[in-house]
Formats: sequence, C-alpha cells, structure tokens
Amino acid sequence: VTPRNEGLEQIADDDLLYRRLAPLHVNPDGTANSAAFKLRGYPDPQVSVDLARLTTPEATLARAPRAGFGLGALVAGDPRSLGLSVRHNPLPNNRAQALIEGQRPDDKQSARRLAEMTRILVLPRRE
Amino acid sequence: MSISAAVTALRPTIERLAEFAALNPNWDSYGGLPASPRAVSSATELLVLLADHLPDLDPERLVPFAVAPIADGGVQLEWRRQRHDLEVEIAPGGELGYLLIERLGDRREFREESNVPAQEVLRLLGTVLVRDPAE
Repeated sequence: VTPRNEGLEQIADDDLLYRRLAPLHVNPDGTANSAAFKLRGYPDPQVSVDLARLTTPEATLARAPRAGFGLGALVAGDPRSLGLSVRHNPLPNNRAQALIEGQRPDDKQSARRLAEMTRILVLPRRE
Repeated sequence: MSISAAVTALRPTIERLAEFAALNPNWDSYGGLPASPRAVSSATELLVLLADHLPDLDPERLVPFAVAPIADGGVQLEWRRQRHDLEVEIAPGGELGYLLIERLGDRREFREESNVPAQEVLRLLGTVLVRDPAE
C-alpha cells in the first residue's frame, strides 16, 4: 500500500509506539519474545508499529484479525539507540502506522534488544 | 536417562511446533505466514538430536524456555540459564542460526551465527544446558 505523503508526523524520542503481540510471541514469564521482531528467521528490517498519540490501545488491538492479542509499547528513542530509524508511515486505513527500520540480518541481538525494550501493556490470552 | 524419557519431556514442545505449521495466514496480525513444514521438521529433529546428544541430562533441562513461530515461515527455540541464553532460529528452508548471550557480571556478550550445522548448535546446547544451572 502506498503511504500518503501529506500529514507526516515527526516522531520524537519520547513518543510511544504500540506493537500488537500474538499470544505465541509472549514468553511464559510475560515478556516479549524476540521472534516478534523477526521475519523468516532473521531480524525484520521493517517492523510495523503504531504511533501511540495517533491511536489508542483499543484501536490498535482492533486491527488484529481476532481477539486475544497482546499489546506492547516501545519508546521511540530506544530503537534509535540501537542505530535503527523510526518514521511515520501513514496508511489509508491506519494513519498511526510507523516503521522501525534498519535491522540487519546479521544483527540478531537487535531483535532481542527490541523485545527487552518492549513493555507489555496488555497481556494476550493464552492459546 | 533414556531417550524415551527425554522425548516424553519434549513432547509438548514438539506438539506445539507442529501446531505452528497449521497457523492461519496473518496469525500475527501483520500478514505473517505459518511456519513451513521444513522449519518445523528441522526444529523437531534438532530436539530429538539434543535428547540423543545429552543422554545423562535431566530430561526437564532439555525443555526450551520458549518456542515461537517467526513470521513468514520460521521457528525459534530458546533456552535460558543463569549465565547464558541461547536463541536458535530455524529459517523456512530449515537452516539454523543462533544468538548466544553470556552474562558476565553486569555486562553481556553476544555471539551469533547463521547457516550453521546442527552439530554446532548441539555443541553449544551441551555447554549451556550441562554446565550452567537453571535460572
């Protein structure tokens, strides 16, 4: 989907980002699993999140295909501290969408660190 | 310990892995595809090899801390101990990779590899599971 060019928001380091978490991506101890930030076995180069000030936890969760998902929150400055970029990428059906970009396939620790930086706001329902 | 005792301990994990191949498209809400049959079979084979590789270990220590699907076809197994965490990724084609985290006082060291043979992962698991006590 081609994002709109107008209305791009600047994302500050203290902005919150929401990431839906499938039940299978939350560890038994209630923390996020790094698999939530990977694609095909490697760190995901383009992690989709929502800019919190343009949405609500309920609206972000409502975009899941079914109930039971969890919700994690990252502070935008945290991925940036890993050398990753965070930018607004509004979609026609989700103006809040943003992207965490720059994870490299040979930098598995970035996915682990993103998981550790994720604060769980809503625990998923166990499957 | 017998192999059958180890496989019994690992059975819930193996059954869970099989479920990952039956996930619906978009299971993660970001368009993710289910785990590939190849990734699931490689992960299962690794667990069986692990049981065979560490025949004297308490079977419960073989059980991963977490097992999770990776979007678009992969699988991840993770073991955690007091001084080490080991994440093993299995790509859709069955290739293995890992991230080893070693805690050294108040700092951590990270080591990672991609496309490694199962024997290398088993050797690491032997080090982590045998020498390092549970969390």
